[in-house]
Amino acid sequence: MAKMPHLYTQAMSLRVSMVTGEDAQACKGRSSVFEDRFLVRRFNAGDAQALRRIYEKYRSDLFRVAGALLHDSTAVEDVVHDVFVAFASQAGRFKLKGSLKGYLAICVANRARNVGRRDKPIRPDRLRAVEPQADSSESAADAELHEKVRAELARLAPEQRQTVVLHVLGALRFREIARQTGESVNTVKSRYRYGIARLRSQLNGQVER
Amino acid sequence: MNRSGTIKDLIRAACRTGSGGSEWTPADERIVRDASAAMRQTCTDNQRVTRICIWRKIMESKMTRYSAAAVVALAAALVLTNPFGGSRHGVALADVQTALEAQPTVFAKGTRVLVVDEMPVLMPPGLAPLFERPGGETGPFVLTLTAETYMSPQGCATKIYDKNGGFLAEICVHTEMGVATILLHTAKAYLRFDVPQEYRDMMARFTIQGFIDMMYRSGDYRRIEPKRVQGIEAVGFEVADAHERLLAGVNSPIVRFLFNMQQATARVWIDPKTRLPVQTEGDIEMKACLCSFFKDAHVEQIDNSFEWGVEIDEATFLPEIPESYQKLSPPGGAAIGVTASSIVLAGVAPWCLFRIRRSRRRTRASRVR
Repeated sequence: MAKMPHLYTQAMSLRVSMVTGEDAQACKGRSSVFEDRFLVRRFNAGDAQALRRIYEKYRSDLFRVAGALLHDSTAVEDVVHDVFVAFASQAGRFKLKGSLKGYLAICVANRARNVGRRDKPIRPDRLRAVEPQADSSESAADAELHEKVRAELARLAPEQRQTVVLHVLGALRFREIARQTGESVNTVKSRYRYGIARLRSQLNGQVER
Repeated sequence: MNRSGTIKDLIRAACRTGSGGSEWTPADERIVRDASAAMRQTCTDNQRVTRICIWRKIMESKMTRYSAAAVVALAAALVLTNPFGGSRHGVALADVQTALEAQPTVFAKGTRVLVVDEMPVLMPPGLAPLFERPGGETGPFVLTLTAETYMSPQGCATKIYDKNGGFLAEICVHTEMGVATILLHTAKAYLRFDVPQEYRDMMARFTIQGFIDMMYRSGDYRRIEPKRVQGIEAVGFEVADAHERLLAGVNSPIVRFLFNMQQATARVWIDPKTRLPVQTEGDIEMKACLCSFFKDAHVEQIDNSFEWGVEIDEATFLPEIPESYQKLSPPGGAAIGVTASSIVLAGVAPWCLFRIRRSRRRTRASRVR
């Protein structure tokens, strides 16, 4: 698998850290933004390697978001596939507003919601179709808890579930979610708060605050 | 019970899936491949759209519109003043053509000079005494004639005189009626026959207007340096390959027997003020044929007196035949020879060359269609 050189990213990280004296985490986030802009520019120029790099960079987050919103792995792959093909079809005219990750995650969430509407409502027992990542250290109790969490997550209202998934699994800030969905930040925060509260109440104190 | 994790960690842990892990799977390869194909297709389409958009953007620009208008105005000015390469007189054949369209009739007067190295034997009666040897005993034989030509949409008539004013011959074509008449006054003979429709159409263009129109439309001519003609600094246009046009256009042994052209050059001189011709010239080199009395000959034709818009009686193109004139019966050899010689010496031939060439082009075009 050919990977793009990250000299540009490294150079930008080094430059930012030298100039601003920011810590490593902030510098990493800033460099990611610069890299996204660089990748989008190359992507708009028709660089297939840039597209590949974008996919490599955000595929894990997108699969997590889609996996949390859909009930089978085939649908997850289809959603990510459709989102990326649609994204690639905008080459040459794509304008990045906000973060690239947020844009792609919202696209995945919206498409997953459309697929969910088209298909039958998600039933907790069908969530098993999305295979959990094999973890040898995971005990039976943990597996049971995880299954219950997924079930309760599926029972949330769609808007709450999407907000929780985007914030927790997509690592999107509320402001970014609000920007991409067109909702107000307070609305997004409220949905998240209600969603988490519902999950916590359904899990009946099995988790610490 | 997981007491150590927060709800976020629990959600993250619960939603870890096999898909989207760190390992590259066939599904990832398929997604990237399809996305790349979509991107390539989009880029290809964008290139087409971009060209259109750029043009739209250009034309939407106010500055561009003004610039385009300026360029168009400049180009129009250039075309109207000098479309064919420039002349300090600013005369274009298009101007001449326009000026001629306003002059449907013309009377032209000029000379025809036939130069042969040897005295012809076969010639119409009465012509032999007219040959001169200005170069002495070793010089060529020269026959100098004067021609008066009447042209109108109804027809064309040429009257040929010797240099002393003796009326030698008369060649008239009534294009509307399709009748050609040749009067040989020295021989007191005449020839009248119907012109076939195909030749009638061709002869209908045997006018100075048609000649200029042909030059302009073909674009196959050369500007020549201005020359003082009849006190006027005239602008010249020249066609130097008339012989090729004729030989290439008419592939008939009979025509070659009549007009065996080896080299033919035609020039027209235009008055820059009136945009009308002030002189036409033709230089023709002929191999032995009927027109040259079966001798290699050089024919010079000059028309240097033009009267435009004159009234021409229709009878000029269909003259009355004197009762004493003997009728020649075509296609008798003598009649053909006389007819051909008369036509050439009348100066019709040089213009015929261009008309035949043009007719050939139209025929080719119609074949292509």
